[in-house]
Amino acid sequence: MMHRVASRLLQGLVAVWAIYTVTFVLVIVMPGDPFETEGRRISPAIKQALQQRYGMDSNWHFYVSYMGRMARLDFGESLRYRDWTCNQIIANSLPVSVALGTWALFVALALGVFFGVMGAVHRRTLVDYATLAVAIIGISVPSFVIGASLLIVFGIMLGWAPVGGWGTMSHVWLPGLALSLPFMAYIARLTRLGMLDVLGSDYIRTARAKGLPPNDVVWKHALKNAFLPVLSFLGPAAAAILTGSFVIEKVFNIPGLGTHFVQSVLNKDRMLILGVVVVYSGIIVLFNLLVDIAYGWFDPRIGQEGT
Amino acid sequence: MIRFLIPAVLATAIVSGIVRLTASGGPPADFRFINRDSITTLDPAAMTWMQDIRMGLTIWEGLCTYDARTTEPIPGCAFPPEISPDKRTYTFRIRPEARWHNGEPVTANDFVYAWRRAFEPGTAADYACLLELIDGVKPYVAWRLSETQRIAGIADATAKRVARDAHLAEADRRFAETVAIKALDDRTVQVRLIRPVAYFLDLCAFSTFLPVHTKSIERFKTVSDDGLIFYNEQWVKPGNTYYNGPFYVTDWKFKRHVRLSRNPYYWNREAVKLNTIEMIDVEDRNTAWMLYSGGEVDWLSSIETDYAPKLIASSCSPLEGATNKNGTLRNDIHAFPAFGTYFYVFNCLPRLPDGRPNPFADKRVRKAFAMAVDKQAIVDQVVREGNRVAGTLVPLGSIPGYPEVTGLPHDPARARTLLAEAGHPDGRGLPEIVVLFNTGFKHGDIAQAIVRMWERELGVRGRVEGKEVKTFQQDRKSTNFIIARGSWYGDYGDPTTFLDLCATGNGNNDSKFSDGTYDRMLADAEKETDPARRLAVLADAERYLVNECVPVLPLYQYVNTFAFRPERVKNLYLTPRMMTMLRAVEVVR
Repeated sequence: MMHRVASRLLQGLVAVWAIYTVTFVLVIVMPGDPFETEGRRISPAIKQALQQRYGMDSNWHFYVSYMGRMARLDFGESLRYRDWTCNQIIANSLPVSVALGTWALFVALALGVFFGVMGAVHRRTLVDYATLAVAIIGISVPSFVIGASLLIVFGIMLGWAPVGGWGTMSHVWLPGLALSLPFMAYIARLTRLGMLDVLGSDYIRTARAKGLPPNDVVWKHALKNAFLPVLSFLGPAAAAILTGSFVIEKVFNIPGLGTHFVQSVLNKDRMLILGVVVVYSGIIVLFNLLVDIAYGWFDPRIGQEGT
Repeated sequence: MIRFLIPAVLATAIVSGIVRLTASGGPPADFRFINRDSITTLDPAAMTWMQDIRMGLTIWEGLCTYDARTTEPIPGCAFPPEISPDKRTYTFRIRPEARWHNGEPVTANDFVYAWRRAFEPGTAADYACLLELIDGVKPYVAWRLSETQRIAGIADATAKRVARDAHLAEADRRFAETVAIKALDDRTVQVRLIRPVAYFLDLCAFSTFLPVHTKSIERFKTVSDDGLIFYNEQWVKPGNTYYNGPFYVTDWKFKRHVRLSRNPYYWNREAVKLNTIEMIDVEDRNTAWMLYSGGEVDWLSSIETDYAPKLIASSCSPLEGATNKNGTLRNDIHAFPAFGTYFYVFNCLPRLPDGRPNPFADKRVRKAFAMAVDKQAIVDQVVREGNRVAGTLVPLGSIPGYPEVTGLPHDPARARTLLAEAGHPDGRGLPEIVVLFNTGFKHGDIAQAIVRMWERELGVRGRVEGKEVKTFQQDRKSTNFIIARGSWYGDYGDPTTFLDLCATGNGNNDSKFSDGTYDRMLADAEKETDPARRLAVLADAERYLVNECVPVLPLYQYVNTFAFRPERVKNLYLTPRMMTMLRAVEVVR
């Protein structure tokens, strides 16, 4: 097991390095000058001083030296927001995104699995169709529409949640719900399919024949196997929730990292782009590793095959 | 059941724990507002954005400051200066009561230090050029740059360090001897300008000219191997430095808020009404409007949403300067003209980017295109913010004493004649006219409408091309366009802040227009020491520019829109330059 984790970690490092390199190349070829703003034009002398200051006079030199800085967990300075280092920006906003994402993932998982199981157990009844309807809405309606609609209904009309901001759980539940919807829908469909498969299998029939309580059969015995496809979806889902929170963060005015992920690219804020991308990819690599380990726990056969 | 409850409780506990840790908390401030955008920097030397400058003028104060109602320069932390008969030497005496927020007196050296820092090449301040009006600055900066480049070329490390240290000592000596900014004593600053500058007092109130607390910033100074002086920007963070304005920063969370408290040592503290101010950062314009509607903030300093025109139309603002008062519904929406102009730029080079001859090098063609545009229709049907049509670059009536200049009228018949005279009857021989704009706002709609007018009136073929803003800027800078969108907000209360845009060789002259007569007229105005006569010369220059040369096609004057309840927020003035002086604001609860 340890050997497997170590080798996966090494692979992860290589993946992060590859992502860094590709992002770096994209940043270099991207049109637009990081030092030019929408307002006045800077003089060539000033631009040169800036390039010197940020070590950006040579791309190759920057590539190597910035990689060295990142190895020491120093992500450099923001070019657009010169009073802040990338470390400060990330440290300020990553926990916010993680909290929101964790909540959204939890909601998606809890409600998604619940709806999925309900749909499978009460197949072709109103419950099944209702969960299908929720799933279709969740998958097909874009998050800015969901976000704004929830904000208008719950924030302004009903007054159950504050209109944007951050600081208490009351600020989290509504954007969390909005963020979780598409994932919840997908998880519900995955669970339903998996459950339908498992519920028809021999061991479930045996369990029922032995007279186990129906709830135990469904939630303990069937769900554990039906959950595997959901588990493998959790890795990419966690990544997508974290990196895709931009719209929700914007609509609900949440000071998370998603905003910087998009805004830094628009600003050509070179070090912030690279810093955020590397942090995100590190998180995704870690998450996939965790899912891998969890897989071995859910289905011991997988762990044995892997070694 | 417990098995399912445990993860729920755990998730809630973890999330609420992180939320608590990352919360910003604190009691609500006396006055809460949403700035037009996030703060990019609180370093006064580096400020170029409205939202930054607005903050800078709240926490620092220059030798002069702006009158809250008129934005005219008035004495700030110095008494009215003594000005020499040739109008080139200004001697300021700093008030003895002028203090930093730790109680230390503001000294003449704090200004000398701050101004030098603002033009030192390492600081790389966008507005350093404003300081070049001071005698000796330009040659000093040029010398510093060439010397640092020479030192950068030295390979041997020891030799490099020796050369650098010698250069830095020489730089201090040269600054003291050749740059005309002097601290005559602890409280007297003397400046000598390269020529009489009618708006110099205005500049003395501007953000680039704000002082810094020398002792605290000095700790953040570093010198690069080749002799450039850098400051670790952490110096601007609350707790690291002191402020001399009406308020000081108590807390700044990136893209969340800036909190201010009243400076107990501000010399004019009796005039300050608020105790605490909070600027809230809101990225999304709709959310900003919802926060204002819900009473979360007292002042929304811009409404850039799709429904802004509707709000403006419903406005019955009782305030001085508000332009739209015909509505009946809302007295809290205040639209007023801005110190900015929306225009199109013609490429004036002899050849187009692809090498073909450029028809717009002929001023008759430019004039024809300008006269074929029905600006009123653009303003009424596309922009719909109650904007005033612009015939000139300098916004009408924005500068006291500046004579009124009329631009070209809307005259399609004359436009067709001009185009025919230039050899293009009914648009014959003209290439496809591509209008370049940056995506966002209504730029695309405006471009579509204008191209349609040209097609209809002049018989040309046209097309619009939207680009992402950074790419757009690169194209504009390298004159890679035929016609491009442009806009300009004035920096100081003088026509030259607009008129210099079309001067030969100006860094922001994107049309690459060059006309000896126009340049000479600007130079004549520079030499004129009588303020009224000078403005008259400038007005002549602008008249000549917009009627005869037409390198740019002014479309309309920008409109700002504030939202605040006038019965609750007092002394928040609608000034075109938007230098909102928060020291005057009062809130009635």
